This record gives sequence, structure tokens and C-alpha cells, in this order.
Amino acid sequence: MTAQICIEDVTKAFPGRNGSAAFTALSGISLDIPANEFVCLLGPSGCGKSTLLGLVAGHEKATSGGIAVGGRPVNGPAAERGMVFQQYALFPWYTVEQNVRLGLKVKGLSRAEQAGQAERMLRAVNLWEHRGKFPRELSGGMKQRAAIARTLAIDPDVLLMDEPFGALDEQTRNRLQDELLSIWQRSRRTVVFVTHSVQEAVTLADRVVVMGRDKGRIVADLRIALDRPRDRMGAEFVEAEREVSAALERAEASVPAGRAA
Amino acid sequence: MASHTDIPGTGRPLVPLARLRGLRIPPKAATLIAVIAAWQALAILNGHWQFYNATLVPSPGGIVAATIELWREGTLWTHLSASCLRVLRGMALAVPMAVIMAYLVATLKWAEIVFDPIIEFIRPVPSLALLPIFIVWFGIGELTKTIFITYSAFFIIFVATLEAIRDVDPVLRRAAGSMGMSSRQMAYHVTFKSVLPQIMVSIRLALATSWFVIVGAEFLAANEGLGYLINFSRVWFKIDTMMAAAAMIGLLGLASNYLLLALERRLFAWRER
Repeated sequence: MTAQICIEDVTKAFPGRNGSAAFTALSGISLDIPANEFVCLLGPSGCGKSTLLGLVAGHEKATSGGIAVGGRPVNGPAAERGMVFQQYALFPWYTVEQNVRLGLKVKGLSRAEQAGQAERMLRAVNLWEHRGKFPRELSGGMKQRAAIARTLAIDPDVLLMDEPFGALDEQTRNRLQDELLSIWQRSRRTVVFVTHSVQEAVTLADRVVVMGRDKGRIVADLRIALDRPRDRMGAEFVEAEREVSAALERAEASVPAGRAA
Repeated sequence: MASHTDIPGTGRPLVPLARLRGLRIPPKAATLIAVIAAWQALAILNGHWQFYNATLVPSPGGIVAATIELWREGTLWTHLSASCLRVLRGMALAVPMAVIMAYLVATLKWAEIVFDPIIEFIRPVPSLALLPIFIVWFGIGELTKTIFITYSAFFIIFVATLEAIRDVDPVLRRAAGSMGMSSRQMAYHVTFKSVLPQIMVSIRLALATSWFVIVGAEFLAANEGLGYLINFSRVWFKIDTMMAAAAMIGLLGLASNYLLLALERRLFAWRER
């Protein structure tokens, strides 16, 4: 069986402003992700991990190379590839429930199906009592839970998460990591999760892909074979963190040759 | 109660007085009432000592009397409704035109190339400068006045809407794309919903401008309307009637402004303030 997500020799360059040299964010990246795997993309900021995720989502087009998801080449965004953003990206003019139902409405579900599915998802993230609130009335953690519910309600094949817990305090982040894992374990799907936190990567992932500053070059591809739920204080966990940290240090050290000549 | 009467200027607002009487007058209304009361008091003093010409500066009471006179004659409604209808007709055309045009210019490259320079060229020309040309082209009928109001309101709404569309959070567009929305669904659920508050604000501003310019149009080319009434009363030296008509325009502007503000507060409860 072929991989769920195939990234093949992908390069992404952004045109420079006013005729200055183009900026190459990613160069020659290849990565295969099998179905139902939870992969964390880890790397220093500016290494291009979010850019890579944006390419898989279809928000940006690769300059060269190809990305296929489920055997079909990526050609713009689609509901099969759900996305969760660090900035939550909830529609502020809709209530929590309307936000969740909107994707179902777009999908063409009947009103009754929309209502049922929205209720299931909102209960799963403990937001059912807050369904009538507008996003501005929610805390950061609640906003992100609403955004996750909105994305998962559509039941995408692939879940793309761009530093979703990056703006949250540590306690909220840990709780949301646990909630995300328990949802994921109940209904497995492929997850690509961008983070710059070693602890987060080791908590969540089956596999941690470490990207370097050098045009996103993949420095390490590590398997985290710990049983879930993982004890963040356990000896094996700390050992895995040490291994990932070492890889990240190598990534930090890699030459920042992002700017093309 | 007597100890609290007529104390404007002492720093004590009229609000406590109103509370004593069991009424709740908002502070902003109290401001208007205070100004009018002071003016009336001045007019009464002037009645005794004649320090200015009361024919040139009528009292609030005189203006109210002139309004009642107009109402008795049956002309008040004619002039009032004529001006209101012109403003409403002009706005009814301007709002959809400006919003649609802004959407086209914001989303279609060719529309931006074709329309943007034309609009930016015409926009700085004051609408009153074009009124005589409109009269030559479209006559002195209602068409001219409708086009004139539409023209005056269009640019205000167009510019505000265009800016708002360009300011729509790109993350929301990306989220909508990943939810599987078509560009039509995105136009409604993201772009339109996002810019609606700014459209409403621009409508409020355009409405104020419309009240402003309709009077000018009615000076030049009308047989009824509040602007016509002012100009016509000038010929007969009826300054109280002129002031009554001017006050009417002020009241209409004020009323439409607060009405729209109240509507905005209801519609956009979701906004972070």
C-alpha cells in the first residue's frame, strides 16, 4: 500500500520583493506518511515546517515537486485535508455551534445530521454548554477546542495542525494534548502536527520528523515507540526527549543557507 | 425641585432633575435640551432689551411656531417626504452598486485594472460641481436628484467596502478553503460577513453626506423639498421658516444616525470591543 501522504522532492521559493533574490523556504523535501500515523514536524522557527504544512493543505503551491494525499495530487485546499491553525481561525460572527455546523452544511449534510454531528463533536471537546457563545467570549483553550471540533466534525482523512497549542499556557496545552490524543485514539486518522516543542512532539507523535534551518532539510526521522498514555515525567519519556533534543540541536546548527544566491 | 431648576453652567447636569421627575433623559439629549433652553432664554431677554435683531435670529419658540405653521398649511409633509424619498432612493441604488463594485475590484484583476483608475479619477470631484452637468444631462426631474445622491454616496461606501475586503483575515479564508467552501460560499460566509460592519459604518457616513448635498440639489433644481423650502423662504425673508427647514434636516440626520447605530449594535454583537 502506498503512503497516505507522499511528498516528493518539493521545493518552495517565494519571489523576492522589488526584484530582490527569491527566498527558498524548502528545497528537495521528500517525506512519506502512512495512513493513521501521527507525525510531528519539529524544527527551529523559520525552518519551513509551516510552509510544508501549507503545501499539503493546498494553501500554497509548490514551486517544483509534487504532493499527493490518498493517491490524488494536491491542487488547492479541500475538506479531506482538515486544518487547525495556531490563530484558531474561528469565524467571529458565528457562535461555536454555527462554526462547527458550517463545515457540515458545506459538506451537504441535512439539518438533522448537522445538528447530531455538531452535538457529538461539541460534547467530545466539552464545549456543549458553550455552544451559543461567540468566539470572543471564549478563552484561548476553548477557542482551540472549538476549532478542533469544527475540523474533526467534517471527518477529514488527514488532519493538519499548525502549532495549534503554541499560544496557550502550559497547563491548557497539556490538557488539550491529552484530549486530542484520546479523540485520535477513538477514531484514528493521519495527523501532521507542526510544533517547536520537543515535549509536545514526544507526547503526541508516533514519529518525529526534525527539519533544519537549511531549506527545511530533514535532519532526523525518529520513531517514538512509547505506549500511550505517556507519562511526561517517566524515564523512557525523558530519554526520548533527550534523543529528539539532540536531533533538534543538530538542526539548529545546520547552516542557515535559506537565501538563494 | 425648585432648587435644581435652571442651573446650566454650574457643572450640575440636568440628569438629576430629570430623575426627580421620574423621567430618564440620556445625558446626550440633555446637552441638546440645555443648548435650546439657553437660546430661548437669550431670546426672552432680547425681547426686553433688544440687543439684537430678532427677525434675523428667531428664537426656538419662533422656529417651532414656523414648523407648526408649515404643518397647518400641509406643506411640511410635502417638503419633508420629498427630501427623504430622494435620499432613500439614492442610497437604495448606491449601496448595492458600491458593494458589488468593491467586491469585483477586490477579487477580479481585470475589474481592478478597468474600474479602479476611473473611480479614483472621478472620486475627488465634488458632487456639487457635477450637479449643473447632471441637470443638463438628465433634466430637473427626480432622476437627476436620485443620480446625484447615488453619486455622492457611492464613493464613500465603495472605498470603505474595498478597504474592508482587502483587510479580511487571510487565515479565515484558508480555514474556509480547508472546510471545503466554494468561492461563492466563501464570498458569503467569510468576506461578506467580515465586511458587513464596515459597510454599515460607511452607509451611516454616506447618509450624513446625502442629507448634506440634497439641500444643494434642491436649491438649484426642485419645486419641493427642504432645500427648496429654505431657498424659497429666503426670497420672502422668512428666516424662521428657513431655520425650521434647517432644523428638520438636522433632526433627520441625527435620527438616521442613531437608528443605524442601534442597528449596528444589534447586528454585530459578536464583535470584540
